[in-house]
Amino acid sequence: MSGEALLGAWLRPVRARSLAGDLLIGLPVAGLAGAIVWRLFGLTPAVLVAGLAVLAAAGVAGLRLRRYHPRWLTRRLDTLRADAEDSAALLLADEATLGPLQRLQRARLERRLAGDDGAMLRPAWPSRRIGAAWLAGAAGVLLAVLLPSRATEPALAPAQEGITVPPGVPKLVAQTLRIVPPAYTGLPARDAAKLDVRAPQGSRLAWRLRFDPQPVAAALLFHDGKRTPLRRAGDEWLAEHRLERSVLYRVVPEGGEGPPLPPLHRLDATPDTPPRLRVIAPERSITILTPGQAGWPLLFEATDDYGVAAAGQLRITVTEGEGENITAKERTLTLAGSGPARRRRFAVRLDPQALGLARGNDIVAQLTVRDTRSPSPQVVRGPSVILRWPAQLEVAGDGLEGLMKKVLPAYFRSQRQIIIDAEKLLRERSRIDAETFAARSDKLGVDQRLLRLRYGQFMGEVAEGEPEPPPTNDAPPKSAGADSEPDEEAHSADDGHGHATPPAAGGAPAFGNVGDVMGAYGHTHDESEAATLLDPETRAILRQALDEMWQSELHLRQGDPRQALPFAYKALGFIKQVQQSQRIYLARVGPELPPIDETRRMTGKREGLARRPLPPVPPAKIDAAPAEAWAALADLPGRAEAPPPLDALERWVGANEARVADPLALVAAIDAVRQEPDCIPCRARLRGLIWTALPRPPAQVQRRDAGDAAGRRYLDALRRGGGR
Amino acid sequence: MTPQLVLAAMLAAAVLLAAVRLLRWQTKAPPEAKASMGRLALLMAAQPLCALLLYLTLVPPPVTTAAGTLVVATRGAGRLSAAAGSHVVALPEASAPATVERVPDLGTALRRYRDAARIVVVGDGLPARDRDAARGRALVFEPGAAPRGIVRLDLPSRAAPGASFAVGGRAAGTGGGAVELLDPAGRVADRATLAADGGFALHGVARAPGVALFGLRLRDGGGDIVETAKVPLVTAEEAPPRILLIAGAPGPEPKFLRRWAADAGLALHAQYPTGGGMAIGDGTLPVNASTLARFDLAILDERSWAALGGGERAALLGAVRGGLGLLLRLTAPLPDATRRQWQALGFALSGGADVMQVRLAANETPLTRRAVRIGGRDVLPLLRDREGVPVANWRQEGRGRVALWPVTDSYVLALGTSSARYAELWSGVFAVLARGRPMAPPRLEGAARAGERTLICGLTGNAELSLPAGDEVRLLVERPGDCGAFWPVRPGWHQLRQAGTVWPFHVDAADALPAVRATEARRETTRLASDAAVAADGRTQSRPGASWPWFLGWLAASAALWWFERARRAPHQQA
Repeated sequence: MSGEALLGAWLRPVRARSLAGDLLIGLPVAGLAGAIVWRLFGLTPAVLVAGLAVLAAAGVAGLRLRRYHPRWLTRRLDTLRADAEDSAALLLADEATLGPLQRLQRARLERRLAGDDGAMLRPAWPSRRIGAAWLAGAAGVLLAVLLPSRATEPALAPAQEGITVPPGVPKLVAQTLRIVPPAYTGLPARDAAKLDVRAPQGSRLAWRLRFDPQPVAAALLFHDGKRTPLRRAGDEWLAEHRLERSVLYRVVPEGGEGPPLPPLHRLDATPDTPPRLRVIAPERSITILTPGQAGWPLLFEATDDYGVAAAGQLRITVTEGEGENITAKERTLTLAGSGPARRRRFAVRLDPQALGLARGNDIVAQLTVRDTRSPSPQVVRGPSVILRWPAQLEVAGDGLEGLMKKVLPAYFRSQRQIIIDAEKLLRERSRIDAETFAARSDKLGVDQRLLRLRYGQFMGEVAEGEPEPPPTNDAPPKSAGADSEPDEEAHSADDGHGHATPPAAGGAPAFGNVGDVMGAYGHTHDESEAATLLDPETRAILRQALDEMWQSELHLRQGDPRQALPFAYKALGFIKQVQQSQRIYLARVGPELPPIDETRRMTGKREGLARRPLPPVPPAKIDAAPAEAWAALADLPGRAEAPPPLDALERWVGANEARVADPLALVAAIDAVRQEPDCIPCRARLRGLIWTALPRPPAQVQRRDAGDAAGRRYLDALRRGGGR
Repeated sequence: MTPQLVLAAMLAAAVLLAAVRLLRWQTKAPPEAKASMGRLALLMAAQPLCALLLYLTLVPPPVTTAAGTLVVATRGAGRLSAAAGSHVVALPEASAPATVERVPDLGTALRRYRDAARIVVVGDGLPARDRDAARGRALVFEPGAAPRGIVRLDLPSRAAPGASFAVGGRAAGTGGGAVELLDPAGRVADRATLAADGGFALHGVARAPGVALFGLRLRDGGGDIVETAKVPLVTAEEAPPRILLIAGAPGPEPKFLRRWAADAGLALHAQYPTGGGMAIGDGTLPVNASTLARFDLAILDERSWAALGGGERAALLGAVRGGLGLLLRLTAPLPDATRRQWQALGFALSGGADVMQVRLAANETPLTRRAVRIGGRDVLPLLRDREGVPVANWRQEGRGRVALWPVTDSYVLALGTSSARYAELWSGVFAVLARGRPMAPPRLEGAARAGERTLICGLTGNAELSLPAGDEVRLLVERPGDCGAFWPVRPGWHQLRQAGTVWPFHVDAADALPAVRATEARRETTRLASDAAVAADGRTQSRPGASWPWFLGWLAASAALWWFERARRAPHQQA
């Protein structure tokens, strides 16, 4: 490697080291400048200034690089290495100009330096300066970010009071209103340029106001009479208020109370809404425990406008015992919610066995959540969800029936169903053996018999056994209800809808009870004994239907559905005829009372009877204040003579805040009219608001015109003419 | 004896006098002074000539001129095409180009262009101001584009507090759409879609006594607002009707009627003669003429009607003919006697043994009514169900009104969520049936609009009128019952004071309801044009000619005669 190349290779890291050192000093300085500018003027100028500072540092570093030229390197080499023998400059010299001795010395030098990497030549890191610059930069940036400064407060906005005052009287000229919502809301503080604001309930409000000329004192006057004096700080006036409810207020400097009063401003407090709780799983409020169910997953979702507390209380109630002897055990679980604060989900999986759920009992779970409102969080209790383990299935307790278990209601099949099943049986004949076929046909025959007996009740047939309630799952045991009357109450509670329901669904009426059959096929509220069910013609048709059924049953019982089908079809046809017969549907009518026999009225004993006056009817009370103000504020000629009763109206608004949609708007409108009694739009606005608050009076009677003399003559003539 | 004849006679007498004088001069003059026969003849002949010229100066002969056409641009006039020989003028309302001559009214234009034999009206038509000027002239109407917006608006004259009122009308040119009734607070109180012919009906509720300005908003098929109008409503307390309620037995319907009557301030006297001399109620009043004269409406049911004696019934019907209202509630099948008596009153009754359900509005509890069919001559509906089928009916009987009410359980409405509906229902029924009030309020003839003559009728005497600006105007009325007129300048509420009572009424702005005004102007101008077509048939146009040529002729002739007479006499005298 030649000497020059060697010097070039050594110079590069030297220059890099210098550049890096300078930039390390320059960067924190640029950052500090940027932070200061950001604090004072905002982000965009800060980025601009920081960029410029970085460029400047880079420029300075570039200038400083010019020191490190090859001549500097040779001098440095001569200084640092004794074996350079003060002849490093030879490395730069033109070979052609050198003498033989110089060449020899140069070759020696090149040989000596060949193995060196030149690390010793690099300047040392300016570590103290770098450290100082970074320390200063970090401290400055921290200060700039954290230090609150007067310079960051927003400038006051010009006031818009819209009033003209005589010169010399103090007047609000500039304003700003800082709103600091409660910390739990997580909302940032903001500055409003107007004096009418809407803020969360509990916000701290701080006014900064400027008057011209300076008043002696000033205050905020609230519409409910409260007064908050303003505190003077320099040429600004300060006040603070905690917004608990919506209010109207005005800024009144001392000396400014005379007319015109400054306008009212409105502070609206938006209340914190309580959390809303929703059950996501299970979908229905009652879940039936399935056999072998190991767990019961619950999932709730709570939403709130600001945030739901992370912990929710799940109250679990487990019932014990049966019948009327039921006790409940309560325990409480604390659930941790997941998800964002405004939409938290609470999930838990309850173990019915571990909770001690026994057959016939329930587990009731209810979640209680609270929101993050301080000081008093709002507590919301969600809907209850129930896990039910149904009681032991009913065992019929009738001795005659033995131990037969009635698991499902054994409703008889309809004629159409019998036909469908018979046809299905015929289609499947090739696939099943003869014995099964005969058995199924016999079962169909039994169904056909039941149906025949059912319709036979219409005809008064009691030949084959007493009517009995159809066995149902939820009917009480017969021992308890056998001697009681069929449940008339249950029937009448269900009237009007009974056509489609099976007769036994509502209770346990006796099988074939005539009144109940009417409930299924007709509609009557008569005494069942007195009901004329069927006219002779319909009876004849029903008789034919029963005959056909009997034939159908015969063939089915004999294992020959093909033979039975024609009869079954005929029976179905007759039944349809009976059902379509109009006489069986009885129109619903009101009670038909027998006519009053006037000759016999009041002819009995009349001791103790006297003429009796009717109790007096006190008329409904309607507040007069809004109606009077409504009438007085009308834009009629001569309104100036009678000032509207604004004080009475304001008292009424104060007493009836709940009945008025927006009481503050009404108060503000009243104030506007009071300030300017002749302002037509103000009066119209107040009148519109009164209209919304006016209760509707009971409708009175608009009298018709009797007509003039000619009209009366006409009517009289009309009557005489009509009489002819 | 026309002035022309008088004038002619006077002139003839003067000519005769002059001739006699000339002859006397001639005969009395000395012979040397006697004029020659020729000269005398000339003088004699010149007298009637001068008289004739004087007559023609004073009464110039009519001249027939070439018939000109006056084209009158009115409001809404589009492009004007002036035919040859016609003059084009624009009325103040017209938006004509500046080149068109402006006239303050049609009368001025007709005076300015006397040769105009024919008037062509272009645009919406003549305003009321100019219709009299055009009457009797040949008039052709070329209407402009059909008006768009509300073309008819029927406003309620008055409403009782709490009672509902109806606003009807018709809109045109909107291609479907809807109208909204806005309450004084600006909220939508009712909304209706336009019928196929553009008709609509809206219902609002009056509240406390006073004046109120409702609003009407017309939207086209696309939902854009086409027009807004004001609906002035005067709500005033009325003298409450006095009601006699006689029921066969206490029941929910009389009970709730009493409840409402107490709330609404009606004077209701209830008596339930339960029979056998027993009665419940506010005291038993005898049903006779003097009792019934104290009431405005009697409500009976079929039991209490059947219990009335013949004299009582006669007294009741006599009172009805004198103005009393009578409502019979049907709560049970009608006895035959009652049916006959009411058929004699003009009702045709059939059925009634059963009850049926009736729904008055789509989302309202169904009510029960007797299934009696009510017909008869001149029978008007009192209540309609939601399909518009009459449920209850009334008819005029003398000065009073009789009605049949087959609904048996209207109190169900009072028990439901909208108890105001019950009061509204009965308020409407009582308003139809109760005796009319003796003194009718004054009424406006047509709509009152700023800048147009407004007629107030039904005045009992001179009345004071308060204007919005606070001025007072006195309306002069010749006879009681006559009309008084005034010319409103500013829109707003006016107040008419007469005999201690105050009647507020609203005057619309001059530019309110443009389509209504345009429709009216079109109708009236079309009528004028059709009248003119009949009147102007076969008439020639002639007008008085100019008198100045005749005057010059008379002056010349008179001067020549004077000179002729003097010139010959002077040398003679000198001689």
